[in-house]
Amino acid sequence: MEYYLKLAWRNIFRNRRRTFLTGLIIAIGLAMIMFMDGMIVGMKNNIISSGTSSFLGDAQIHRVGFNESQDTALTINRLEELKEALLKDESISVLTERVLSFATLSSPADINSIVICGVDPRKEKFLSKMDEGLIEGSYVSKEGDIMIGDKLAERLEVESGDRVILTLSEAGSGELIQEMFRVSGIYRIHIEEMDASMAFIVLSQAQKLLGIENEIHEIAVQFKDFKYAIENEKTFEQKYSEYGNIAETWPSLIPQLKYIIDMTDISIGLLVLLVFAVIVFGIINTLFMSLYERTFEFGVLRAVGTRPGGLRKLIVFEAGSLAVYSIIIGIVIGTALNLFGSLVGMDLTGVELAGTTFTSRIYTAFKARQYILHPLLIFAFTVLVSFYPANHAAKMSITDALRKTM
Amino acid sequence: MEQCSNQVIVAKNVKKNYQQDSIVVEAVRGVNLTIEKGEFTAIVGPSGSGKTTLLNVLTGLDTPTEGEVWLNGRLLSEMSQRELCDFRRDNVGFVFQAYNLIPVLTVEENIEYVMMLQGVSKNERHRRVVDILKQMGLEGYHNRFPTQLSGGQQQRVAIARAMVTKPALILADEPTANLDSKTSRALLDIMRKLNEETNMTFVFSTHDPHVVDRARRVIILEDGVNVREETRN
Ligand SMILES: Nc1ncnc2c1ncn2[C@@H]1O[C@H](COP(=O)(O)OP(=O)(O)OP(=O)(O)O)[C@@H](O)[C@H]1O
Ligand SMILES: [Mg+2]
Repeated sequence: MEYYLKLAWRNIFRNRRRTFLTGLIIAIGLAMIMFMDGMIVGMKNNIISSGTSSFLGDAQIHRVGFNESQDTALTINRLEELKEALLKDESISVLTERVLSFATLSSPADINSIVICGVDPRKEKFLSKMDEGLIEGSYVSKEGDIMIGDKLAERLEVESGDRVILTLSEAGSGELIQEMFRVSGIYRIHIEEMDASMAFIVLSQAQKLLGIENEIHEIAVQFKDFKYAIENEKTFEQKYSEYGNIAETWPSLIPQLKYIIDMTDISIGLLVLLVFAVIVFGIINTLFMSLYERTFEFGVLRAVGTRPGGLRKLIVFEAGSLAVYSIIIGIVIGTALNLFGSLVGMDLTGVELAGTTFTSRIYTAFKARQYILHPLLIFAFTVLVSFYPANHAAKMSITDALRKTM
Repeated sequence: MEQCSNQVIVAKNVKKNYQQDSIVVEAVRGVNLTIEKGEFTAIVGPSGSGKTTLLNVLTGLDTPTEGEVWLNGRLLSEMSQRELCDFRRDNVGFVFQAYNLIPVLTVEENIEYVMMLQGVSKNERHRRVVDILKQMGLEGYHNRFPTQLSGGQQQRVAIARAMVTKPALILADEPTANLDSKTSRALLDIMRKLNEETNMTFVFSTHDPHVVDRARRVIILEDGVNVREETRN
């Protein structure tokens, strides 16, 4: 065993250049897989967070039917009990309450239909990004304040401090209500519908205007770990879909986001397969080349009493040694690439991908699997593939091999 | 048939045909032969006369088309491939024309290879390597690599590897073909000396008349048949 390992390790360095080149192919393959993984994780995080952390949250709870009808009378049932349960939930880090309604917002210059959103400013800042996206003025803090997106401000030709009129209909009765607001701040978060057609006022005033005191339409939740929504989608949804309410995590709320992520997983899978195919080709090629060169030597080994299995073992060990050698180079290259990617990153801000927009630079992410799973896969794959040439050598006729003098 | 314990090889009407495309090549055409313990025998014949084929069949590297071979008392055709492999390991030492040694292994590692296959302990292996290198006049060479040795030295290491397990038969197919005549004779002198000292059985093939001169028994092969024999001293 030990003897074969020694022999195998020395054998792979018989043709240094070939070993180096094959090692480099495998190493670059591994480095690419590591880097692509880092990039994709970074990209996914970015896509998800630009989808969820701008405003949506990782999960939301509504009254059944509210999302479809936007009927302001459909407020969340048994709010106090629900909140109590949510506050006790260990996986949740932030939770915020909202009131939502269609409305129109008018200025002397124009009138626009919008969605008005009543928020609790203290809680909302933890979940959504309007505070970070403020380009003018300040966050809503009291009744009479309204915060709007930059596109909406442009259309209405207003600046912070200007007055606007909000028109909405009271829940249930449908009676029209008008109220004057002062623009407290203008934000830009690179999401078209939020920048162009949403406005925020304080929660209590929204409740008063709609005539639904102490009631809300939406609870948005943020998990401590955003992946929780993917991994425990059903648990969360089942737990809080009661009392006629419905709980949905982001994969259900924005299925296209889930779809993008699944697609990236598939395309990554295909790329990885491609890289593996290249690696396999490289290994088989190298092993066969070195096998044919050493046919006579294998003949001698077999003649003096090496069993076919011994020869097979030797060649598989050679492949394993080649893999170890390559993995070391690959990890060095992969780490360098990922380090570069994680420090410099890729600027895709504002680029839109199937409805969501990248809101920040993408940085590659280091993951344990890049150092454990991927190298192990390469190793396992290489060893597995080497059984083909190994069997070939083991089955070779001794006398034919001995007739081959280089 | 009765097998005497001092008969190392008994070949009965051995034939070996090769199929090459549509032609059948009769490489060995009915060889009857007995080799006894302690012999120092040369198999001589022109190129293509079937020397290599015969030696391969006699040692179980190849199976005869017809006839039977007993090696050290065992009928080869009765053994499975696996048995044959281990039997060869324990009973035959091989020396080929060239490239006998694994280039990435040192002299010592090359010599201990078969002992390693046999499961001989590390200390015992080392002891035997030191002994055999002394007998071969290669003391102090155990850490050299084959490429650091001359052709004659390489062949001596190959003989050391073949002998170190004390097999019933040492078989050498043209061991001197790649050596100059002086080195060839020196190698044969060592082989003969070892044969006399240890009473191990040596069978080798050759073209070289100088090498033939060193043999005590000469079997002459022509067109796949042993036509004549000479005994010398
Ligand atoms: N695998 C094979 N397929 C076909 N023909 C073969 C094969 N091996 C040997 N032969 C033929 O059998 C005959 C005997 O060959 P062999 O190698 O045994 O001769 P040899 O006496 O060892 O010759 P040399 O002195 O050149 O080594 C030759 O005619 C050779 O061409
Ligand atoms: Mg020959």
